[in-house]
Amino acid sequence: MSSLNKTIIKQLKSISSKLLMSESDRRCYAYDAINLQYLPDAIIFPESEEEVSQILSLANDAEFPVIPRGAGSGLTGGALAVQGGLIVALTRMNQILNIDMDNLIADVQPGVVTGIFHQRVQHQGLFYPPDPSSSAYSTLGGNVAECAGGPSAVKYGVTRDYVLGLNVVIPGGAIIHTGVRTAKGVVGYDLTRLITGSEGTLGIITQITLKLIPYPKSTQTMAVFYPSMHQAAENVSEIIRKGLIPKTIEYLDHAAIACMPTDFPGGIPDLAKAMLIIEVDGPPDQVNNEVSQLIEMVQNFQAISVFRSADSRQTQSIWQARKAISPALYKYAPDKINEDIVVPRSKIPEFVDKVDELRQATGLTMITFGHAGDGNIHFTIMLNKSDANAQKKADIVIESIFDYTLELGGTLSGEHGIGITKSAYLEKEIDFQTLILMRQIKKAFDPKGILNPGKIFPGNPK
Amino acid sequence: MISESTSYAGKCIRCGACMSICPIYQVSQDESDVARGKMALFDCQKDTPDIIYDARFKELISRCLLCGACANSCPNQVPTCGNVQAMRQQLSPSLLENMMMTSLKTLSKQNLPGQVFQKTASIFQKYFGKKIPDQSGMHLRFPISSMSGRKYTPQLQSHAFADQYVYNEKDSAKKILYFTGCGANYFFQETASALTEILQANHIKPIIPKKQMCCGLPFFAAGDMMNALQAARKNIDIIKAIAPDIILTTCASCGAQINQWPDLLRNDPNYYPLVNKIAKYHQDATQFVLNNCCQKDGINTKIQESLWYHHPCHLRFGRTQLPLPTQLFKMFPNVIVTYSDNQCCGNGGKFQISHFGLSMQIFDQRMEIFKAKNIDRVLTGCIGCQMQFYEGMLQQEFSIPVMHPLVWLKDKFR
Repeated sequence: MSSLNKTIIKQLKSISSKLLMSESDRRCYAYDAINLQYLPDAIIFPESEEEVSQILSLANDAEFPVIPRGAGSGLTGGALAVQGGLIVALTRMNQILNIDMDNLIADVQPGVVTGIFHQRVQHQGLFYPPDPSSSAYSTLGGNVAECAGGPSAVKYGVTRDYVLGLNVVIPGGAIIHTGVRTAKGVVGYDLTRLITGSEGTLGIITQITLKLIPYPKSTQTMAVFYPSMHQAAENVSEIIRKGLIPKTIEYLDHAAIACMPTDFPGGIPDLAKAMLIIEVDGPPDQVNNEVSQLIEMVQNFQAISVFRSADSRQTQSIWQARKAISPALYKYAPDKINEDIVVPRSKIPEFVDKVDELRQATGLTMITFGHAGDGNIHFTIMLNKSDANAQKKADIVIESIFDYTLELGGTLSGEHGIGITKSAYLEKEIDFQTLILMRQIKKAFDPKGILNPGKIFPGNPK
Repeated sequence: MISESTSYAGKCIRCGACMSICPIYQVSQDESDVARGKMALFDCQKDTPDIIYDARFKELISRCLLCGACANSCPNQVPTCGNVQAMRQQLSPSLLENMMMTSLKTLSKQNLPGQVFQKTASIFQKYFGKKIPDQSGMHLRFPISSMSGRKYTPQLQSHAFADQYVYNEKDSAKKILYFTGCGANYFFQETASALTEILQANHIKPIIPKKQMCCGLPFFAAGDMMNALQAARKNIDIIKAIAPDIILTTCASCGAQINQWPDLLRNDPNYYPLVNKIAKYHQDATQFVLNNCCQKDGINTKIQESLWYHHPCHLRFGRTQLPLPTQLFKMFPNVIVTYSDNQCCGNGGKFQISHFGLSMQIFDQRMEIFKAKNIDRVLTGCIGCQMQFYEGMLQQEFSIPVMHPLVWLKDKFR
């Protein structure tokens, strides 16, 4: 049963010129990148903060679920209409309002595509570092709501570190303004950081003030192959211990390497069981110096081979291969379980050992790759979910991976969020009292529970 | 309740990568326009089979340029174009009707008195009916293409190029067949002249079959397999009789369709072995000229011009993919070339007919750069793109010659 009656539909139509309700359209907004399906009742496309405010005012009065959506590229179901309701697609609010060269800040609407923003600021010699693999299509609003990360987090941090202020419409329609337009600011509670990563459960972001930095003068990229995952992981710790902080240190295990294209620049050695992609940026002299140090260091760690990218085309090929891994894993099995746990980077070798142990014990196909520089590991199980035995084993593996992650001092999600896929595990990491406070915060923003219901907090999404 | 979507390996995983390159999505930001949305629509037939009778479903299926950009960038190699075409085939002829109805609806919004439209349409129909063979896909473009706010109508020539062309069998050692396509045969004959003249200057005399037919792409794109197959078979019969060593096309779309014939005829034992060979003989004419007819001393390389080169989608993606013809422009040190290689022009054949406004919006994205540069000529190797550039520029009250790269090159031969 639709939660939207005729009166509500009429009111929604008077708010926005575009409201989609046909089954065909609803089917196209029923999924995100985790490939589950929940049909929304309608999709609305506001073009201004005022329209968003009117929508949330109506939704609060009529008590129907509202689900904010950017590009729908999230990996935990954050943009899914799990209880039906109205999807608020923010893709039409896609203006870069201002790039302030003097103060190195930018004001943007939430529907701006991250990759387009990257290009625009780079054109002006500026850099917005957060670079989730979805950056070519995901939106800044979605990135802020999920606190997206990316490979460069090891040096530059994540989305949160670049959000200075927000305009947010909260249930009931009130428009709140958080944060500052300055490098410093301690007036009142830091609602900006609270809302960043709140997965669309507290309010709908309608404007974002972002911090920018000067674009690094030069970048160099290397691909390093190792005879074992353990050696690669130890080498990462050694690199950081020596005080070198590359822009990225990505790692891939043998199963991920097997998914890489055969024309990978420099080739893939037969004995390679692990690989690091190391990228260094900064002033040219410093970059050259650091690269020389890194090459010496990886050779001391018995790397099988080091490939140093000669031009931007080769660099692009390296990153294309890296980005293509996640979807290419489907060659192993029809279903994927993907967790983006984080462990302190010094604990990566121990985590890798644990995965080996579980792989041997269960016989499941497990792949690990991710952002070794910051300890964020994309732990993936490929399986056929219709095989009850495999699913059962996978559930046990996930449980023990999560337990072990927390034991190592890590966290259950580095950049994908909780959404619906991890909510059952939330209580493993968040203690009872803290969770109560979080629920109270949710209630303070959204007393009727209309905004993105069924997300983050444990309990049946239905 | 959660229902697991059933598409996996080699199929769409809903990652969203197609959103970054779909030309329609860039202007509409509608999830239903992008490959991922289309795949969701195809998948939902499993639990809602009747959805295909829904007018909105048909409309959404018609909103695809078949440019191939999504398939090209898809990390899982989902063949979206093939899937959309197959769905159009399933919906045809009702989809064809739907696409035409959209055009008629657009027309009715122009406040043209019905009679004026009917009369003009019938005159056009009669006129074109005489000149263009009944089987040509060009009928899907006309007369509607000249209405509904459009400003550009290509000039129909009094005689087909192939009919005027004289071929002497002893002329050439290698048998080179030039498949003009309807565009160069009936409208843009300067393209056909340019190629034949350049080839002749290099002692190559191509064969141009007088009875060649439409390549069938307009039918194929609309899901009309009967006519697409008929066009393919008739052309193959003609080509078979000539037994050429090389087949040249000046229209990227015709070239792509010739390369599509093997797929169309894969279940036809009479044609399949032959059509596979034919597809292998195919070469894009510009590429052929660059490889075989460009002795630098025979070309005046001193000219000064500012060009805009548009690489057609049918040369950017799929089996007919070719690199940008930088080799061509390198010969001319004083020619400034701006490459518009990363974006579809928005034509998509019948797409421009059924979704004129959207098609123009896609085109308009390049106008800002275009206006900023002092462009003397636009070069593109596809009839559809050529017409789109004329139309798109006229809409913005711009008038710059648009031509095939070979037409431009021909004048540079000494």
